[in-house]
Amino acid sequence: MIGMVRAELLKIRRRWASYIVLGVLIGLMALIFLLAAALGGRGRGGDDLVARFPLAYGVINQFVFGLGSLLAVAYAAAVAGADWSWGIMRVVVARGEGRGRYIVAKAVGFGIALFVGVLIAYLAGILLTYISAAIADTSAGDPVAGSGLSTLFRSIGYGFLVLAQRAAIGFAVAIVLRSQLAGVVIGIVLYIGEQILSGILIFASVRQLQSTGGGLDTLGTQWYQFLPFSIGDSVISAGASIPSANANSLLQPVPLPSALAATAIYLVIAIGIAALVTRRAEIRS
Amino acid sequence: MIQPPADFPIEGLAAATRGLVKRYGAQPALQGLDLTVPRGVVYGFLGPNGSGKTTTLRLLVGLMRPDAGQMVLLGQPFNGRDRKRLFRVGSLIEQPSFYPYLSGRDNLRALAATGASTPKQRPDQVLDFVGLGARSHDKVKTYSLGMKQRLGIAAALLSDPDLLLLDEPANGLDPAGIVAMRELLRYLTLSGKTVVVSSHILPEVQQLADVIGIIDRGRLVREGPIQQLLTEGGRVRVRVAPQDVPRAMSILSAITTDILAPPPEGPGAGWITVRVPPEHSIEVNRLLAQNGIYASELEAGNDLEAVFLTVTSGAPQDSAGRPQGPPPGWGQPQAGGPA
Repeated sequence: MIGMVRAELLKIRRRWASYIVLGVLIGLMALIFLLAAALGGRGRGGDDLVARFPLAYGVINQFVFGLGSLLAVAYAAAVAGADWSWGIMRVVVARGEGRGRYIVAKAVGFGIALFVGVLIAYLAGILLTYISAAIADTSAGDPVAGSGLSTLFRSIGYGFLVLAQRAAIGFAVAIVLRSQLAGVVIGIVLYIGEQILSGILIFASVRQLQSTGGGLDTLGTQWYQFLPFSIGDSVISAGASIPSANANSLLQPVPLPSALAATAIYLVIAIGIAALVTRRAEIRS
Repeated sequence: MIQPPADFPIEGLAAATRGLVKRYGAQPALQGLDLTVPRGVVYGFLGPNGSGKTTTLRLLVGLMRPDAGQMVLLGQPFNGRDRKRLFRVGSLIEQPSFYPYLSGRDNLRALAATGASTPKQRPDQVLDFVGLGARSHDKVKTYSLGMKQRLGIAAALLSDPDLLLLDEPANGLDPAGIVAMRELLRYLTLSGKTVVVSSHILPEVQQLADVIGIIDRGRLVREGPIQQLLTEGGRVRVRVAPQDVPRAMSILSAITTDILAPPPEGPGAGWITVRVPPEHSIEVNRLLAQNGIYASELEAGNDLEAVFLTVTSGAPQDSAGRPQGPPPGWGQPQAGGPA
């Protein structure tokens, strides 16, 4: 099993797409940080555009676990689907390897690589905070002051769990579809589709509240916050978040223990489905 | 667990199937296939396109499950779930499959982490063995088709298997590569391994195989030692003047009725093929000469292609319409499975 996990890490390490995905994430994050710094750190209304610690953790989370989720779903689907598209699964099974074992090893290997990617992206985010503050000639604040360090660890820990869970869904979708391309496309469609669906449902909830004369502060926690890609938002917000004007901020986050449990359950179910489908598959190509 | 019938001798068999049935939806792929592969031989597994060769190999390595029938792998019943039996089986089924962005060596390293425990130096050994040592660090996407094929054979050899199942292993190989592969497979059988080669290249199989199994439409139509089958594929070809062809055929019908008439025109014009053992060529020539017809050319030989074409198109059938069984001494096909 350890050998297979190592082999998965070798495959991911040698794949250019791994570096491209990480590069896209860090590049976009850098673009926004540096743009804010280039504007002198002040928006038109005099808003402070350069993030300082500990608020900067929330901004980094937005990139690493927000945009990062979409990239993780797509890349996990690409990694899992490649074995079917390139006929590797046939070779592995014909060697007598356990199908379920192989899928679990693959998922674990991907998870380790994902964790390393999160650490690198997070480190890049911290560096970018300093760089943008320096460019804007302002202070970046102290990343470890007060609860800064625990916020950092919480953000990375909770964020990684969510990222792994979302990636696992992309992973499972590609295996069910037995295709790299279909897995990536459908994984992205599901992810974005759920975001849109969630937005529509929030809007519907708001309209309903307004029609009954209720205030927005009573919107509370809604069932659709438990949807597979949405549940992670409540977990991530327990790490560090930024005051936001988006629709999700109208909702009360799901209590952390429930959100963590639901996220873990989704993660296990996704890997379980991937393993089960592979075990039962008739491999014809 | 599938148990072999009491009268099914599985000792000493590298692989065997009895009554193997597989359908793809309503389409039958195998209809009661009975194969018998002894240990330590090169087994030529032949059949026309779509006859079920690849399906058989997929079933033997557990990629798919049969709808009915029994399988034996390395002397033991095999139901596809006993995956550790496959640790002693190497296979190259359909086209070789690798990560294109990894080097040949890294592909084998990754593969060596699956299945049977493999010594660390084994990937390099098998790469040298198939002549890819010098290119082992290049990415597979830069390999030619022949190199990928050799890498596929190297992958099949990774776990030092007792049984090799190779589906069209000569695909993409140049003549030198084909000769090298033949020598490689011969070497492997000399070291006690069994090699099953599915191929369309009949002359190649004829040179390589000890035992032949021919399937058609999912059923075994002939199986046995190649020398025995080749005696069935003996032929004598004589070239006579085109105007003498009808009379010559009439004269030769005294020897056998299995005579192929030549085309009226073209390079084959005047060539009459008489399906008799090659040693009958003297008799053929004498008979024609006695009747005043002199052959301008004469060829005699054994031909696997002739056997193949005979049994797979208009295959000889028994009174019940089933394909004729293998020669004596070999596993007798059972009545066809459910269609």
